[in-house]
Amino acid sequence: MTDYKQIFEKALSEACEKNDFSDDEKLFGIVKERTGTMEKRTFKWKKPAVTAAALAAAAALTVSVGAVANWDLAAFFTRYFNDSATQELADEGYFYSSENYAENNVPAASGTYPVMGETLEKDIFTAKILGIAGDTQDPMMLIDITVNDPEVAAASDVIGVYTQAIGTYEFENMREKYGKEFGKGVKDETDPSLFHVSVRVPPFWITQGEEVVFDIVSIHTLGLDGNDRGLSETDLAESGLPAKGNIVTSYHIDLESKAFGIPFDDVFSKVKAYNVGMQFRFTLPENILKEAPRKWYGLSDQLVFTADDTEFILMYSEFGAHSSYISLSCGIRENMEDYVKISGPEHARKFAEQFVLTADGVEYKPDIERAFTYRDTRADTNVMIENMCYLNLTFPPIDYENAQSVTLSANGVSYEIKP
Amino acid sequence: MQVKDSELERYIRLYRKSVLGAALCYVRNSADAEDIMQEVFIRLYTHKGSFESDEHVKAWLLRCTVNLCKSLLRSYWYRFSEPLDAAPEETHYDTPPDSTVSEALAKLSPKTRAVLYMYYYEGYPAEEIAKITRSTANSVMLRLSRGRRQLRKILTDERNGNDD
Repeated sequence: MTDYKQIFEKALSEACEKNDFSDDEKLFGIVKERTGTMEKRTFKWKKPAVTAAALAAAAALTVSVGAVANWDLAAFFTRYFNDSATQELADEGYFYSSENYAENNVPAASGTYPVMGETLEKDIFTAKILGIAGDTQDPMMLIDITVNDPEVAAASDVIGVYTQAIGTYEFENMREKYGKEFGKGVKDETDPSLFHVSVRVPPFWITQGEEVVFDIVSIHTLGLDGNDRGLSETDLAESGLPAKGNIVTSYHIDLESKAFGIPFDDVFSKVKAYNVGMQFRFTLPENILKEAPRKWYGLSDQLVFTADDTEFILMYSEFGAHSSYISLSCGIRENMEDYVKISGPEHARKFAEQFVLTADGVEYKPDIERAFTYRDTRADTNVMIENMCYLNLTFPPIDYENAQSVTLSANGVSYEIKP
Repeated sequence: MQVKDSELERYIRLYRKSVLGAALCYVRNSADAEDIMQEVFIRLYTHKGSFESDEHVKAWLLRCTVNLCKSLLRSYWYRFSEPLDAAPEETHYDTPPDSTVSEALAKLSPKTRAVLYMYYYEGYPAEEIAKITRSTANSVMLRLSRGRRQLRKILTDERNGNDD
């Protein structure tokens, strides 16, 4: 196991050996001397004069949040996607458009990747990112996709889009480890070749203030009559989705079934995949989304519920505009058999049904279809302990900020989340 | 109330290396790290507020360090100029031939390096790191996860390369 503390001790020792840093006594003397003479020191990194380039760089750091250049774009969320939650956030000013981006950033030079607001053509599609809105729980990216083949465009009022948004380093070195999001595209009211897409992006990558790669991995359309249709195993693999029959793929196929309004089994025979790989790269300011209240509870003994010798300990809560999310740890399972016992859908549902979230006296039950258990084999989640299992619950959204009291209960045991 | 001389001496003894370590996570060279370390303790010495405990002082020092480093990194001059007195290859990440640790750390972003440093070397929990770096605990936890993966990969790749 990697000893990270030792890594830093070694690096610090190396740095101190190679460089003549002030020791305790010398530093004390320096501080006394400089504060005694009230010396106003000019550090060498202060720019000597204001130049045009410096002004441009300073302007690049200026963020104009909430100054929606085209408020009609923000209205897309209700107009095309029936997403009133994101609409409300956009109305509050949590909408960053491609025009905001153009005001604050220098467009990429030709030959490199397009940024927000620039168009990209691939296969029979043209794509353009319009903006991003929402909160740190479910940021929603708005994209316009033009289907340049009139027959394909006419075949359906809907398209499906798989996207991946992660850091540049992760994209170039380990993109297969990260998931894809599915977004539905709805045909424009007046232009039959234009589809407006709203797709969730992982909030972590969007809020770091560092470059993010936004890749339109695959675009799915309803196939035309004839032989050139249907999802193959190759399509799935190239889209980056696991093989047919995998639970993750089943989840995505279910989304496509609902989006296209066709039976689950028909997705494989009627949907055509275009694995386009349309890549945008850009950097967003850090604070463009509304902060969804969240809290990590750590591995404490705040016991919520015990059943079948399993303790469910509250680990994490998050209250966003779309949902309230609760994660509870339920022990370390190193043995695969034990994991199967706790991770089966029926098992998760049996426990999920017992939980109630109460906000100012109003009770909410979890969405059982979205309850799941998860074993963290890579120590990536919550307390970062290998093989720790979690029960994850999704409740309806609540107004956490204005609530006086929020409580999680199960089987007669309650825990006050707020206050 | 301003920090007394005896307290300054004590805080330097206790926290000089922590401040230096945090600064080295962000800045490119030893001269900038030294400048930031000096500036942080000058600000401590002239700070007019009061501290509740030694831990409060340490958190304040680290927050100050992070803020100064971020200001430095954001400055136009820093981004487009070379340090006036640094030889081309002379950075604190020059390593002896048998050491890959500093090189590996140098490949991480400053924010990721700083979060790893504060979590593993200083022993801060995620929520404290979030307060120091003015981010969120969730962001810290995910950056830790990301940083560990990156570092493991870099160290593994370099080890395999050395074995060839």
